[in-house]
Amino acid sequence: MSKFTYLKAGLLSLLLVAGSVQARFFSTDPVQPNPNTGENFNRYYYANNNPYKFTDPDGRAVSLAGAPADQQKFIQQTHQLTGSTIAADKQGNLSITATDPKVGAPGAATALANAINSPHQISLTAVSSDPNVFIDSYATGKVDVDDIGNFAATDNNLGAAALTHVLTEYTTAMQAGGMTQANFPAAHSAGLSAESAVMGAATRTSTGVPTPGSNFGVQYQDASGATVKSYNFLLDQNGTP
Amino acid sequence: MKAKHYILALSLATGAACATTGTDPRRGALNDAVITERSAIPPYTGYIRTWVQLKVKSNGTDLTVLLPHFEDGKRIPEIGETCRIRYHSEIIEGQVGDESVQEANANVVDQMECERG
Repeated sequence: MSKFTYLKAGLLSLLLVAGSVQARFFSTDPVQPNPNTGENFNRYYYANNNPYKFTDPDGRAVSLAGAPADQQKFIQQTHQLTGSTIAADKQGNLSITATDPKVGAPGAATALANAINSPHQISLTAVSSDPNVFIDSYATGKVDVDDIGNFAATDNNLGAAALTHVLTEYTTAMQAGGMTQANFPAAHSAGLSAESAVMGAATRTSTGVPTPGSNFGVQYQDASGATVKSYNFLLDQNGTP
Repeated sequence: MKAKHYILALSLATGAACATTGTDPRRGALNDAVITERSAIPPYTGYIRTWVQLKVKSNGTDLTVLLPHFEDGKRIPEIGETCRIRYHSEIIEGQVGDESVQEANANVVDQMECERG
C-alpha cells in the first residue's frame, strides 16, 4: 500500500507552537533509505525535513548551481537584463563586480542587488528548456534560462521583468523566514509588483497555459486595469516560449 | 522517536484542522473521499501559481479541490485513491491542470492524506 500525505506548511508551524514537536513533512518519500548512512530512513518525511532546500550557512550570498553552460547563460543573461556584471566564486556564490546603468532595466538591477545583499542565502539552479519549469520553480529555486532568454528576445524588459519577479520573490520569502509554502503568497505578490514596475505597469495577468505546444500570453495592466503591454507566445515541445 | 513524533504530529494537525473547520465557513473537511478525476499536471508553481485539480466523491457528494503544485519529484494522488482532505476556499489566479484561471473561487487543499486501495 502506498500512502500520500500533503500538509500545508502553515499547519506545521502551528504544530511547532502547540505541540512542541519537531515539524515534519508527512509524505511517503519515494526515495528509499540509504543502508549505509540511514539517511532518509523515515518514509514519512520529505527531502530530509527541508523541502525547500534554502539554508543560510554563511549568509549574504546568492549561489548558483546547474550545468556549466546554463550557469554561464544565466550570468550573461543577468548582465543583459540588469546591467550588472556578476561573477561566481568556487562555491558558486555570486557577487556584483560592476553595473552599467545604460544596459538592462533599472528595477531588475535593484532586485539583483537586493538578493545578493540580502542577509540570507538564496540558492538558484540554472536549467534550460525544462518542461516542468516555466521561468522558475519556487520550491527548488530552478530558473529556466531559455524561458527568460526567449522572453528577452521578444522584449528585453519582459525578460528583465521575469528575472525581477524571481529574485524579488525569493528575497521576500527568505526575509519572511524561508522558501516555505506559507510564505509564497506574499512573496509572489512582491514579485508581481516588482516585475510590473519594470514594465511600467501595476500588475500582470496571464492567459493560456505554459505547457508544451500551448499558447501563452502575458498582459500588464496599469492601476486603472487598462492593458498597457501584451505578449503572446507559442511554446515549443519543451514549454519554452 | 521519529515514528512517535509522526503519529503525535499527525493527530495534532488533524485536531487543529478539525477545530478550524467547525468555526470557519471558508474551510471544510472530507473523510473517505475517493478521487474520481485528476487534471493534467502543470509546471511547478513559481512565476505563475499552479494547482492539480482533483474531483472527489464523498458520501455521494462530488467536490472539486485544488492541490498546490509545489513539490519536486513527489507522486500525486491518483484516481481511485481514498483520501482525508482539509481545505479552504480562496480566490485564485493561475493555472489549474491545463487551464488558465482568472479570479476564480476554489477549494484549495491544506492537508491531504491518501492511500491506494
